[in-house]
Amino acid sequence: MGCKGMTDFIQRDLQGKLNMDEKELLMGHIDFCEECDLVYRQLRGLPAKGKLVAPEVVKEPEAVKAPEPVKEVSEAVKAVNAEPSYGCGVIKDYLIREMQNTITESDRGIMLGHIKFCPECRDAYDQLKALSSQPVTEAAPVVEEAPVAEAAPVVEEAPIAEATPVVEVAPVVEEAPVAEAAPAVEEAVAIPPIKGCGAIDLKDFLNREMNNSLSEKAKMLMRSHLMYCFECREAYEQAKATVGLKTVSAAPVVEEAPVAEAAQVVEEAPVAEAAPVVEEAPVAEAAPVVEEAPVAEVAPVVEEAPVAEAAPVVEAAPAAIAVPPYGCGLLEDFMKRDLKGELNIDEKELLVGHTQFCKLCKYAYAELKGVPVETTPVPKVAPVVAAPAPKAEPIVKEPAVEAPVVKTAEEQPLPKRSEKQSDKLGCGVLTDMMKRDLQGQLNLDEKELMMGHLDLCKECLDAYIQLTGKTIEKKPEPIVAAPVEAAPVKEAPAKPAKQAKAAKAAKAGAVGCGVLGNLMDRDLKSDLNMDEKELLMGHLDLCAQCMEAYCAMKGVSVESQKATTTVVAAAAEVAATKEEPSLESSVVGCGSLTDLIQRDLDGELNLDEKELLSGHLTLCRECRDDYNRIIDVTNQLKDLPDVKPPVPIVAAVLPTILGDETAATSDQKSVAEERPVLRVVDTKPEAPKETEAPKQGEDPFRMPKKGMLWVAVALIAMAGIIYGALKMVPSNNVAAPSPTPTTSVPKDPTPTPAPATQEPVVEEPATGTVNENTTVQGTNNNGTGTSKSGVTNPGTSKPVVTKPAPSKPAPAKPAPTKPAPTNPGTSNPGKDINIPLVPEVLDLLVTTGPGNSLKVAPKVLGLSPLQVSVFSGDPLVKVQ
Amino acid sequence: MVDVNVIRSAQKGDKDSIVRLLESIENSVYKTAYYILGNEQDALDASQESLIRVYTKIGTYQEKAKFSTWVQRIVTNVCIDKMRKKKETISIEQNEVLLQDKQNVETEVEKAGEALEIREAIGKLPAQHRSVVILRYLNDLSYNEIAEAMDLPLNTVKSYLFRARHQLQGLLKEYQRGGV
Repeated sequence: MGCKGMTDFIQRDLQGKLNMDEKELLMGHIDFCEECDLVYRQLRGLPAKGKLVAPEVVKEPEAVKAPEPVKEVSEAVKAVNAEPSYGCGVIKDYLIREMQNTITESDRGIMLGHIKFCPECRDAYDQLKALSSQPVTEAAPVVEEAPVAEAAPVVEEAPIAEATPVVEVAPVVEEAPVAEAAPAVEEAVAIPPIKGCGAIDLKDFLNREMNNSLSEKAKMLMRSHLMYCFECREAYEQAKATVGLKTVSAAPVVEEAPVAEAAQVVEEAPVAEAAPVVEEAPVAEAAPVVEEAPVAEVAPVVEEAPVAEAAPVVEAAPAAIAVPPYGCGLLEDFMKRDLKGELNIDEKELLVGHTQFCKLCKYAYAELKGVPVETTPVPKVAPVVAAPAPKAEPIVKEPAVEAPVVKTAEEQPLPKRSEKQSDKLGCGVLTDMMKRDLQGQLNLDEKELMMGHLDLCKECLDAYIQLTGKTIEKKPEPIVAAPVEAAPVKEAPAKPAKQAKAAKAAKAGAVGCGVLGNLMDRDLKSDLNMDEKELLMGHLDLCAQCMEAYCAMKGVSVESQKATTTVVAAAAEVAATKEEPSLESSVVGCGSLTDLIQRDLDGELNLDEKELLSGHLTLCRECRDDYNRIIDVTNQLKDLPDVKPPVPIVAAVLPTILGDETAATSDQKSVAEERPVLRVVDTKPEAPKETEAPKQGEDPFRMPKKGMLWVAVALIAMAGIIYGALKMVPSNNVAAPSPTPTTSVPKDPTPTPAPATQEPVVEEPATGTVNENTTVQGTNNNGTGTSKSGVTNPGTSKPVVTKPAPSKPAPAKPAPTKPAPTNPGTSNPGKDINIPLVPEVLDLLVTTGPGNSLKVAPKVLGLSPLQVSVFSGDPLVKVQ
Repeated sequence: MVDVNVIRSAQKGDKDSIVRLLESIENSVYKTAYYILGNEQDALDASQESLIRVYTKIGTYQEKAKFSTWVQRIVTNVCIDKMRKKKETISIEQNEVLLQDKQNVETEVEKAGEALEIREAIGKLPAQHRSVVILRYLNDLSYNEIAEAMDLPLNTVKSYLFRARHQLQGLLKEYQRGGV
């Protein structure tokens, strides 16, 4: 099936899946590839020979023969085409990009496709082209530009109507000299650089063509590109002319032309007549390529053609009616998608702009859209019927007689076109929208779009006003004007008549202006979410019509509803309108907002949720206050001052780290202490896990509850043991409350047993002062243990009082440095408990004489009663 | 940010690196401790203890987590432990003693009335909530990092923060009303 690359294209085209670019590509290819053309036509059910050569052939002779009627017609056509084109907005951008050489190939394809039908754009293109080429052109600028400017119109108008080829004739006449001028360029032997659009390597192509090494596929691709790219074509032709390859490049085209022409004229004519045969735009585009074909060659054909054409054209017409389904085919995809409502506004504009100039598409489009038969088919038939006539005219060689026919034929569509215009509503872009708006089928976006357009397009606005029967101020105002201003304006026209109208409309299914009918229904069922509710209220605030309808549906007065609506819409007034909680709290449950607010603080809300939240916050004062408060809290938290340690902590810790690591690790807790502490020798067993190296992955720093439990259990066990021991050795306890203070002092006390580096506390004689009489232990920063009595903490001048262990002389073991093992307090000295020197303790220490027991509540010392009993079973501290 | 090389060499026992490492985390450690414990003296104690723990446990640090997160984990645990102990031991008396030791930092902080309010409000939060809030707002830890630092599931962290904010909100509301 045809060329390999095109097979898929053709198949997809049959399925209507080709986009515009692909379509153009396909057509470009088909134009040159007979095989594919044949396949395509077969599959499409088109006549076997459908090339565009026929119109071209016709054109050229006509150009020579009958330029006058042609001009008239062309003027008429131009007049028609002078209507505003709505695709031009897009195309103009393309034009600019084309001039800047920044346009992509696909965009260029679209642009050229449009230019073909849009004279306005074509003119603009020509002008721009001329402007841009003026300074650049060197030897023969005129020669270069001529074909571009002229060839284009020829090609473009060909398919529109048969009369148009005639129009083109005039330029064709100019082409002839251009073609002749080309050899003149050859004289300038210097080979100019081949400057195309840059999409393809023209030089390479030319070289390969000269060497006959150009593959067929490459040739086709190149040609299909040249067909659409004026720039490349021009450059290429020029280069060919300079190189002298003229015949080579022209050969394929020219060869085809004469052969095809003679026969085709007969075959094609019917096609062209029956339907816009020229349907395939690309076919028409062949013209520029052919344009070069020596006029001399074509000339004889022209004479033959008329004879052959005249008769069969008319007869064959009815026989071979194969109407291409979608106009010229360029926008087939667009039309299909438009029918499905899938076009976006740009595409829609493009389509409308195109259909305005392309009759084929226009009628095809109208037919597809199911526009009333009188309007569409008639114009459709008209040009078709008219088409053969003008074609025949030049052929029959009676231009004078048939010229008027041509005119009438051409003029016929004109009024019809204008008829269509009226049918079109306004500029035509929004016809469909307006109609759908009347039926209340527009969604809000579309409505806004339409209003935006109406605001700009007077034509459409008028049409809309006529259609809806509304005054100019009414419709566009709500959307254009500021809501605040619009509201009072709307209040005035709220009349019973209108109310009835709205109620009517509501009954008819289109509630209010039709935009929010559905929302209103759902609102009555309390089915609206927050956004929708806001939307509805916002709209009601602006649209009196909807407001009336809404009130009618709700059975409330407009005034009360307005009050509600304004309250809802204006966030600032919400607070004042707390009387109407129905609207506020019923929208979104405030409970669900808490989560939203929290997530908002964490930046976890998506856009919808954010909108939802803000929507609710504008309505619900409570939530708003909540929200503001929590934001306030967050801000305060964020603004908390940065604090820095008053003294360098590392410096304090360094001695521990760098000095004695072992001590540091064995007694970390005491290291940290800088404050004066009362160290009470505790019998608590050391927590075994404390210093154990933690396993990887575990949390080594958490003080586990298990540990505490273990300590408690151990304490209980110890208490039991001690209790038992005390029972067994009752005399041990007597020593403690000894009346003479000196006797109570152990002979060889070793109060701090833990660190190896610690010196044993040496008893000092009592001097009568607390400091001297008590065994005072101080922790230094190193945490190396205790100091001797009277040694103060280096960090402070406060004394560090240590309650010594109730060291009783060991009855069993006489070891002088170790306490008796039977004594629970000394046998297992445990670890020290740091007790801050709270005023109470200090006072007690000061007032207590040596040898007296220091009675401090366990709580003050941070000990539990259990620990107390472990010590002595009596008040804790004993001043020694 | 702490340089990884410094951490590595500290892990190998390089004293200079250890000192540098500790100095780099000193402020953040103190800040956390200060806001969790609510007073300077405790904060100093906890900071010292934390730094020593960092030093002793530096060998166990794996580069899976951020170093700052790891450090914050130590600090919060030390602080929480301290708070627990504080409850068991002297409370009011100690506070009185300590309040006498107020130094510049606290007074500076107190200058800002709002800051004081919020600080007091933070002090009324449960330990875990307080830690989460502090790690989040004062140390700019992410939820994941907080979860890692406190060894809690992510959702728990979120929940704590949620509740903490609400509690703070309520407390501040009371402050505004003059109720507290």
